Order: sequence, then C-alpha cells, then structure tokens
Amino acid sequence: MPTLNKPFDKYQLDGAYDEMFDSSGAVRPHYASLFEMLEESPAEDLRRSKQESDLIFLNQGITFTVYGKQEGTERIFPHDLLPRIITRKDWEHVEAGLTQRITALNLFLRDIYHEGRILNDGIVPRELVYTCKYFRRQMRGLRVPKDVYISVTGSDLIRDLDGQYMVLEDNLRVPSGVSYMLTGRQVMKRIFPKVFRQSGVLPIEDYPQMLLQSLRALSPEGRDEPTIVLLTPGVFNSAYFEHTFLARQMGIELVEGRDLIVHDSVVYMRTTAGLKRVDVIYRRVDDDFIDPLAFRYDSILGVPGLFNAYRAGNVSLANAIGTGIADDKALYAYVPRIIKYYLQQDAILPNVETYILAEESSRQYVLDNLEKMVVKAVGESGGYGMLIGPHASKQEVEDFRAKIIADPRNYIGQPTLMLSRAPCFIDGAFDSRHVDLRPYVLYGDKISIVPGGLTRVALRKGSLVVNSSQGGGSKDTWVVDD
Amino acid sequence: MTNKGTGMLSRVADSLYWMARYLERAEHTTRLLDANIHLMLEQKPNAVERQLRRINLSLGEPLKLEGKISVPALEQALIFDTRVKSSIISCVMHARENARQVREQISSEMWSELNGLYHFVKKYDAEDLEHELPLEFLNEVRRNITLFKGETDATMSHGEEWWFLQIGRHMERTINMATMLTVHAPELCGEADIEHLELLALLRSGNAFEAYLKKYTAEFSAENIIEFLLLNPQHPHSILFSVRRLQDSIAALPEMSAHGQRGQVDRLAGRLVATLSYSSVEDILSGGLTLALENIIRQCVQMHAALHQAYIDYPIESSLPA
Repeated sequence: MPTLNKPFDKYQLDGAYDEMFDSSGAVRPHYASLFEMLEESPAEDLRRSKQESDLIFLNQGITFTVYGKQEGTERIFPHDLLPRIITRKDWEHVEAGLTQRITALNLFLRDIYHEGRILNDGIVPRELVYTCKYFRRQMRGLRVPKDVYISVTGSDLIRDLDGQYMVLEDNLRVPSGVSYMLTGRQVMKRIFPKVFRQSGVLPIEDYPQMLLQSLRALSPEGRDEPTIVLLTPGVFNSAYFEHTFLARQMGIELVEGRDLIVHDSVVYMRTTAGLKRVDVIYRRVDDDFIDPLAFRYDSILGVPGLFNAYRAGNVSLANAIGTGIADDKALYAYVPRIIKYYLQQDAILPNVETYILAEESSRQYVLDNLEKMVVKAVGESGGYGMLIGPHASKQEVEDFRAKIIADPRNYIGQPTLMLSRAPCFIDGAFDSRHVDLRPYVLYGDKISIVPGGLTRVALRKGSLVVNSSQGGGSKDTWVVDD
Repeated sequence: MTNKGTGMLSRVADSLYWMARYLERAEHTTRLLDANIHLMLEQKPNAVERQLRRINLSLGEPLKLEGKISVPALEQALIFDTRVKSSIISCVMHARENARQVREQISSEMWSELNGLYHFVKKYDAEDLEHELPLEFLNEVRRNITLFKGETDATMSHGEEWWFLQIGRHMERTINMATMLTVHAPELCGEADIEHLELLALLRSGNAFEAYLKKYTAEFSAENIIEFLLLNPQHPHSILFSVRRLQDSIAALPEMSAHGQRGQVDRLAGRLVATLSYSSVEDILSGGLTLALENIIRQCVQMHAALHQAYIDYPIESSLPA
C-alpha cells in the first residue's frame, strides 16, 4: 500500500475508492489545486478557517432536530472544511442518469395511477404496488398539471470500489438538505476564495430561482400570476430551518396548516388584508398529514379539504400526493426494469443489488448471510430502522432476523457496500471518511439539476451511515472542468 | 414577476404583535425591579414590605402573596420563576418562541439579539444572585432589549410587519403604565401617605425621572407626576405618547378589503387619543384618577379584541373575494 507524505501521512487509503488519490497514491488531477493549497497551508490556518466556518453556521442557526430522545434537541449541522470535487465529465454522466431515472419514475407514477400498463404487463407485481403503504388509492384517475408528479427529488448516489456511481435510493416525497448545500457553498466561498476561483466551480446559487420556476410551471389552468407558498409542519419539524431558508430565498410565504382555509374547493391563506387565494403549494408535509379529511384524521398539521381542492384542480401540490410508492425500498429493485419498460433504454446509473425479502429464495439467502448484509425497513428513512450486519452485535442481528420473519414485505437486503472516501479535516488533521452524494433534481417544464448537490459524510471513522440524525455531516460539492 | 400585493399572514402578524408585547413586558418588570431595588436599600422594613406589594401589583399579572414577603424571594420570582407570567425569564422565553415561529420574517440581527438575551437570562442561576443585588444583571437585560429595538428599527423594513411590532409595544406600554399608576392612585390623590423616595421610584419605573426634572425641577408634586406620566405629549413612556403611537401604527395598517373592518380599531384608538389630548390633569382628578385609568385599560382591551377580529381571526364569510 502506498504511503503519503505530510500532511497526509496518517491518511487511510485502502479498502475503498478515494475521491482525491488514485490507488498508487497520486493526486487525481481535478484535486490538484486543493491539494497544493492544503500542502502549503499551516495546520493553524486551517484550524482557524474551521472555527470561522463553524461560527458562521452557528450564528445563522443552521440546525436540525434529532428525534428519538425525550424532546427534540437542536444541533448545529457539522460541515467539513474540505470540498468534495467532481469532474464535469463524471457529472454529465450522473446528470444524464438521473434525468433518465426521474423521467421513468414519473411515467411510472402516471401509469400506476391511471391505466396500470406496467402492472398488466407483469413487469412490476401488482401486489407490490397495492400493498405499499405509500400507494394512494385516492390518486387514481386524478390528472396532475403537466403530468409532473415529482417536482423535487433527492436521489442518494454512492461510488463502488471502481468509482462507478450507483443509485442507493430515491427520495421522491419530501427530500431535505438543499439548504445545507446552499449555505455550505456561501461559507466555502468566504473561506477558500482563491482555490475556488482557480478551480472554475460551476455555480449552484440559482437553485431557489429554478425551484420557483418549477413550481410556477405547475400552476392550475388560468392562474397566470400564481400565489406560491411553502407549507411547513411548523417550528418543531427537524427541517424547519430549511423551510424558513427556502421561503426567504424564493420570496414566498411560509405557511402552516392553520394559515390555510378551503372554501368551495379553493384554498385561501388568512392574511391581514383578507383571504388570499393560493395556487401552488410546495409542501414539506407528508401525504399522511396533509388533509385530515382525506388521510390521517388525527393530523393537526394539515388543511381540512385540501385534497378536494387538489382533486378539483384548483391548487397544485409539489410533490404530488402518492409519490412515495416509487421510492419504496422494495420497488427500488424494479427501477432498472421500469426504465427499460418506459424508455426502451438501459439504466445509465445502476442500482445496488437488492434482495426482495418477500421472495422466498432471496429471503433464505439474506437470512443465511445476515451478518454480511445491510437490511432496511422499506418505509423508513433517515437511517432509522436499519441493520448493518458487519457492525451489529449478535443480539441486534437476531432481533432483526425475528423482525424479517414476522414481516418480510417490510424489509429489503443489500450486500454491505463500500462507499467512496474523501479527505476531511478532523481534529486538526486530514483523514478520510465515507461519503455519498445527493443531487437535487427539479422537474417543472423540464428536468434540471444544479451541478453537484449535497455530499454527506459519515464523520465517525469507518462508519457508513451518513444521515444527519446519525452522526453525519456535509461537504460542499464542486463540479469542475477536467 | 409576481406582485405579492399587500397583506401578510395573520398568524405572522399575531406572532409579531405578541413578540413585541412580551419584550415590552420584560422591560417593564426589569425597570420596576431596577428602580425599586435602589429605593428599598434605604427603607425601613415595613416600608419595604409596602413597596414590594406595590411592585407586585404593578405587574400585569401579580403573584398571589401570602404572609410576609422578602426582597430576595420577590426578586427570585420576578426574574427566574418560569411559572410567574410576568417574570423576566417567562417574558423573554415567550418573546423568543414567537420570534422562532416567524424566523423568516424578522432580520437575522433581530434574531441574534433576542436569542442572545434568552441565553443570557437562562444561564444565570438564582443562586448567582442570592447574595448581591442583581443590578448588573437587570442593566444587561435592559441593554439587550434596547439593542433589539435598535436592530428592529435599523434592519427591518418599516412595513406592515414593523407596524404590528409597534402596536404590540405601545399597547403593552399603555396598559403597564396605567396599571402602575392605578396602584399609586390613592397616594397620588392624597388619600394615603407616600414618601419622596417612593415618588422617585415611580418616576424611575416609568423611565421618566430625568425628563421630569427637566420639565418641573426637583419639586415633586402629585399633580405634576400624574400630568407627566399620563398626559405628557413628548415623553415616550407617557400614556398619551404611547396611545398616539398606537393610533399612528393602526392607521398604517391596510384597510381590510371592502369591509372597512379597520374602522372599529381606528375609532377606538382615535377616541382614546382624543379623550386624553383634550383632558387637563384637573379634569382627570375631578373625575377620579382611578376611574380614568380603568377606562384607559378597558379601551386597550377593546382595541386588542377589535384588532384581533379585524386582522387575525376574522370570520371567513366576510372576507371571501367576490
């Protein structure tokens, strides 16, 4: 194994694809200017930069809330000092792959809520769709503007040992994290202006404007000057900071369920100048909670009658109701076939091999190899309800075995993955940590993706879990010319 | 481009209004304590006891006091006790909670001042203050609130949001000043004794000591004090000044669409301003000071209700677009 010179002498290089160094220990060309800067900078300067960066996050109140404790705890989102750099060539590949994937998934949603061709043709098992808790019967036959179901997606990508990008999961309901992408970039520009300029980083600052355009594209017929709002569950939601941030960046009103009223199937918000009609809702509230009359009756976050207004075509929702079916972890295994079915193309970005535990043979294989597998509950997100075999205790493995046998439909298995690693500045030194990549895909009149996205870092050494609620952090992501 | 037009979310208006009221209330409690702690240093025990009851009654929601009370016990309750509604900690917490609800509507500078004040108050422990007077603490709280108001004026557009803050502040101030004067009414009308030092504390509690001296010199007369705290048109803590600001702020709000619902709030504010503008201190004393103050508080309560009815919680039917 090659060893590196100072200041990278403690840097771990084996066992995963490294974003900065090739297997011989040479710096990859697109990391050259960053590497040069790091070699020249005294550790003291970087430490100061790190403090400065932390302070900016602290003062701006860029926090998230951790669940599972007695009460929500507010935490600063850890941000690593070193950017993750992607070549334009790699990015164009990712962009093409995601565009293809989202186009196909959107067609899939339109299909299953209308004719159901893909089910009739036996490509996707009917039962898999109808037993999914994210399938919404109420959406059958309902036309959504421009047939766009998924206006905002955040798909999680990883890189295997050869550096090939793969899709780990799609987040088609209410993906979050984009505010960290945008604020992280602002901070990096202040801290590393010189490297930033030299590297020719593609800009991402127009995301809020692109999001607003995508939302406007969905306005109901005849509403040329639409009123667009962002619906938040409220101040106790873990992503409340992001909701306030995006509303401010787009210059739209941040509303809660109690601000909205439905009258004669039209949605209004209560303002000091009287009721004002609302045309498009960028909702950050899950399907279940959005309308107590149509979905969970005990929801206090929602708007009674909203679904009726939606059905009547008087208001648009982004994302549409019922998109969760397409990011169900069991359905994920079928995505390459879904792409083939609608687009007659092979998937540009491959899936991670996935075992569907409802199928007898796969289940047996996974149960026999549980300590080598990753098992995920299909309905959970954020790293909750997940077993990582190689890192779990005997007891945890046995607990999971019992859960799988009790409810196999609720779980999928995947081989333990190696995420790629990138250099991080941790406790005053350079070390490598596993990372993934979440680009944000917008779909209005067309699909657009800001270059890069949010790189999430598993800050604990050796850990593969990048979720913010489980000890993850973030990195700025630069797409640069080769 | 989309024109967002006039009007703001009613919930946001309500939060801003209450944020300002809670901060004004925190300031009132702070000033009361600050002015009186000085005074009580020089008082005899039974005078201290009487003064403590006055402080307590001057709060919007006084504590139920039983038996003997001590200076540290009252200080502790009015600064740190989260169960006491008018305590500094309660008011600051409520103000911050309201600010958190409308985080995207207020400027980052305002948030950072308010957040800083909250953490400052929270980090103090009652035991820290047990053996010494908390004057430094009170001064810091007062300074923080003043900074917050300065940031508000300097970094927030003076649009509707800002006017709702002004309404909250001056509504609260009017009620607080009227309550405090009511507590002192028997003494000011010559029905009970009051010491020179206690009058001084009253003026200090109204932020008005030096301003009073400039106008009336160091001769204290009950009549002049009433005139100054109630009818002075220039002093920012006098009741007349506050209700005029209240009227101006209400006039800056949008007319409700076609229904003219602002009318009721306007009318109430105008009537109160007119009553005070055209009264002399003799008129008020001959009609009864307590009665006049009760009227002011009652009209404030009506104004609050009318404001709520017009802008926050109006009936849907009256406001549907035609």
